[in-house]
Amino acid sequence: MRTFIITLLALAPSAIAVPAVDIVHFDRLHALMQPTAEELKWRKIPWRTSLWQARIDAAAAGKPIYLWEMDGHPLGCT
Amino acid sequence: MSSFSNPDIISVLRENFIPATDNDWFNRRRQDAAGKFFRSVAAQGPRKGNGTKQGHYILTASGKLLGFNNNRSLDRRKKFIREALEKWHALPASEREPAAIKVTALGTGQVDKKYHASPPAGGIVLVASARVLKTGSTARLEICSADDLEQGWGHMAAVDRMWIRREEWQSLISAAESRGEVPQRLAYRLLRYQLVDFTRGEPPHWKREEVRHFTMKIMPAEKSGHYVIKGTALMASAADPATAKRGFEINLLGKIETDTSGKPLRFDLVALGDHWGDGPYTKGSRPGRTPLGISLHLGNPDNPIDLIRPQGSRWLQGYWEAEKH
Repeated sequence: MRTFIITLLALAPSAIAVPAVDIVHFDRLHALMQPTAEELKWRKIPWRTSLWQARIDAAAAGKPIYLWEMDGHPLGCT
Repeated sequence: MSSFSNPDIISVLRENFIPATDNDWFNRRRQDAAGKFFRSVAAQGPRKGNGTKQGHYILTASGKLLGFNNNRSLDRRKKFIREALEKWHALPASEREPAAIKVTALGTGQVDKKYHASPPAGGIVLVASARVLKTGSTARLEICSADDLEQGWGHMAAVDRMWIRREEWQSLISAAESRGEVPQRLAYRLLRYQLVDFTRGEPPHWKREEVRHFTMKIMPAEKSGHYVIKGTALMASAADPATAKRGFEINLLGKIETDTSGKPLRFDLVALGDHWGDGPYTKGSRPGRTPLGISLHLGNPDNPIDLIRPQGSRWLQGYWEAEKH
């Protein structure tokens, strides 16, 4: 039964009313989900991805550390 | 717009600071020098105790807290930075001069392995981007603006990563050559930990039993070394999707290209579907079923940002063995 259901879903994606992903539109759809240039402006800041590495660099450079901490990495999923 | 897109903030951080980001969930738990250092800094401000220590800190390399802020207001963030810089310049030169303080890298034997992980040696890192979508005037899917969402945010692409071990990559290509199923371990990792709505923060990942059904096949494409992944899946918080408070029903398509040695040159994947519901930390989903897209591509192994560990890997064994736990 499970195989039957899966086969149906695979053969008829439109029947489950879910947007299709086809080869023709693949590249456009893939790009659609990527961050835009506006959304990537934060990358102009040379973020270190660990506090300890920042500590090493700050000590060497004689600069203070700006630290952004989140439950989940701030440059990832927070 | 994030304050980190503001030109004044970008400029002041580039010129005056060593900017850093890190994961509070790990840092407040890890029992090593890095964890102790972070907790000692946080304890100088309002984030005392064992709870969350999320926020923005300005500190010295020696561990002196110069300021704390946890407010999104651009003006308040600028004021916080300005005041902390004034405190920095008031410090004695012995604390501010380059190399006045010595800090060395932590060796592999010095880090708390329970809360520290690196991408698998010889493996693959994929970068995942998730975005809420809308159907445009020409019936094409389009990106949303802040105005399209009731809370006025959550419209931007959110980013996570997926880790694949070398032997898993090899098993994937072996499956492709025989026009078979994507190995269960990889399929479950993708479905449970990457194909979630992480556009508004930390999502609840799908439990194994919440992957209600799926099919995910991989097969060779026309050109040598080219492969295609095709699949469908339903993840739902209840067996009956009509009553499930949260769910994601998707179609997915992937394109893989390898060089003659079998090394990946391209690993693009699109999962597109209708999502509904939210989680304790991701409130504010749109009502009903609405389009959500997630795409993945190869990360750059030389970019530390691409090497940040996946959000779903807090329990690393569970992440690796996604088909079991």
